[in-house]
Amino acid sequence: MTWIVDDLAGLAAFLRGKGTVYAPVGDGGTCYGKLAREQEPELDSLTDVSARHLFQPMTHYYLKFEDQPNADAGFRDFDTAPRVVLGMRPCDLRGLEVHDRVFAESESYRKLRSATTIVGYLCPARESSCFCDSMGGDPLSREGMDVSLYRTDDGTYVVTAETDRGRALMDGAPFAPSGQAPPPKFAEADHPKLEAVGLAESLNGTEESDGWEDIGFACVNCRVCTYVCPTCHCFTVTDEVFGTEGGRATVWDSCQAKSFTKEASGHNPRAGKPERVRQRILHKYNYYPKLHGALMCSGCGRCIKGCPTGRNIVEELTLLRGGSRS
Amino acid sequence: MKNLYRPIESVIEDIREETANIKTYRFRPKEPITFEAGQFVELTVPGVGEAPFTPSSNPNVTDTMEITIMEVGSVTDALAKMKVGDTVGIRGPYGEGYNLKDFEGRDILIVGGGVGLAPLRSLILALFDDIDKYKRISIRYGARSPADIVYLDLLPDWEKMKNTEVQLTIDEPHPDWTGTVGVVTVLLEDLAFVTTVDVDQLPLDTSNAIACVCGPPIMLKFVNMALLDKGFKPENIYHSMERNMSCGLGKCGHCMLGEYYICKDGPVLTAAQIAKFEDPF
Repeated sequence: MTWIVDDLAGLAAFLRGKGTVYAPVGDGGTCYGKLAREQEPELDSLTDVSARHLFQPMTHYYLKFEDQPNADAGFRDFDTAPRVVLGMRPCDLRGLEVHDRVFAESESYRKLRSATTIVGYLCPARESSCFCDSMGGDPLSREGMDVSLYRTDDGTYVVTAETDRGRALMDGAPFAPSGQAPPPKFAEADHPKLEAVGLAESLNGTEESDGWEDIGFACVNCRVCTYVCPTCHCFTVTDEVFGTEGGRATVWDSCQAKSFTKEASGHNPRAGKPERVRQRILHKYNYYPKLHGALMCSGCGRCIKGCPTGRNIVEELTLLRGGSRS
Repeated sequence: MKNLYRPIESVIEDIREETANIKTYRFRPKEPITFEAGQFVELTVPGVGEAPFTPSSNPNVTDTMEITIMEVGSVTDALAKMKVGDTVGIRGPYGEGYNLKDFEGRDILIVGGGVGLAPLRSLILALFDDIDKYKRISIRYGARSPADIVYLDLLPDWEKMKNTEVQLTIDEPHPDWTGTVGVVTVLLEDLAFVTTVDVDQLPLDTSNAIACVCGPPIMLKFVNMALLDKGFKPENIYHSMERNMSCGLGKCGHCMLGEYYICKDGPVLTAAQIAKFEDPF
């Protein structure tokens, strides 16, 4: 079933009746946030930060105590009230596939996932840092979307229910059904390119490459690349106490932090930048593929866009495979 | 619902001082925690945090668990201040245990350094429970000084076990010490079996023997080289590769070594598994 929707405000208002709506917000769409009443989602550009935090909260206190620290603190699961995530692009959904694989055994994760209905947004235009095509992605793919959405030339939106869950979400939609919608369009642009065929295998044995020194040189350990990424999922289990209140939380962490692997004895297996940049890149393009048979990168390009020193993972992969920086 | 991250309340039942900064704690969990030798648990000091430890008690004892712990970080410092009757949390076990079935009928060499003998103790006690299944057990242990030797009171009993020998060394000469001096690899130069109990004294059959090693990373590195040099097969050398393991479930990423999550695929990995890494330790 397909509908024509005149504006996003109307769609958002309808969806709000079905659950809490999360969508790109902020100036031009910087990140995914709870959509306030009357607020319109900002779909014009790819968000700076991925939707990861909606599926893996940055901080989640799963044990909480209120009077004093104790070993029998109450367990708190994720908030699993019904919600709609509006505006996730195909690259974000490929990122979510990584979380689906990694956290498949987690009942808490599965509950969070099944409380979530996804209204995806077909990508309208390539940005200069995008390379989803090199990662086997398709900007117009509807994979993983319960409902798909795209903008037409006349400024209206075409909304299609793709799954049973999507049909249930759109039940009672006050929009005009569309018999013949114009097909989605995608505007190409210059962007980084990489031959992805055999990428994972080609990185076997690169652990000892001299290239890591070169790649690590520009890194300033800010960890932005890992925090904006839709596939990164590393975390730490930590205890925090504020006065008499506190608890134990899972908190996002980054393999780019020196402390990430530091042991109590002081020994650190990844003490240097070359080892840390190697971990990030090989985890994505070599270790994860060995474990799951897919790349751990959707080519969204956020790490390129966000890097304060202009590192470019496509150039780095090219370098590791014996090519030169463009 | 059983939550994998939820610690089981456990009461400290006994604290035994091993050295100036190492103590053995006996915990009684509210529910029995069963584990296999080689697996580890996450120990919670409420309000401070948790840290990974391999139990040092017999895996065949399930109502209590002993862990030998050195004061070295925030969790262990806080634990050192706790007393008998206080409560901690334990979750686990995690990882894969030693494949003891594969050890049967073979010589088994246990190499420990410092507090690294602690995790090996649970293996040693498991082996002792079925001692007739194994050919001989050789325990070779190095400590920094006589005062740093753990289980000093237990070692004489170990030595008296059938088909078992214990050899000790300390790193530097010491007035109270008349035994071997040098880092633990000096005990690997001669693999003749020396024991007070009457048993064949032929050298260990290195082509078929199992070696289980635990100690600081630098020790693992040199013991690995020495054992390979002596003819041990890489698939028969087990290293305790514990890292800064946080979740214990192969998710959080801290303990990754190549495609291995040490908390899930280890914490014991064979020399064959880690051979492809230039410096896995």
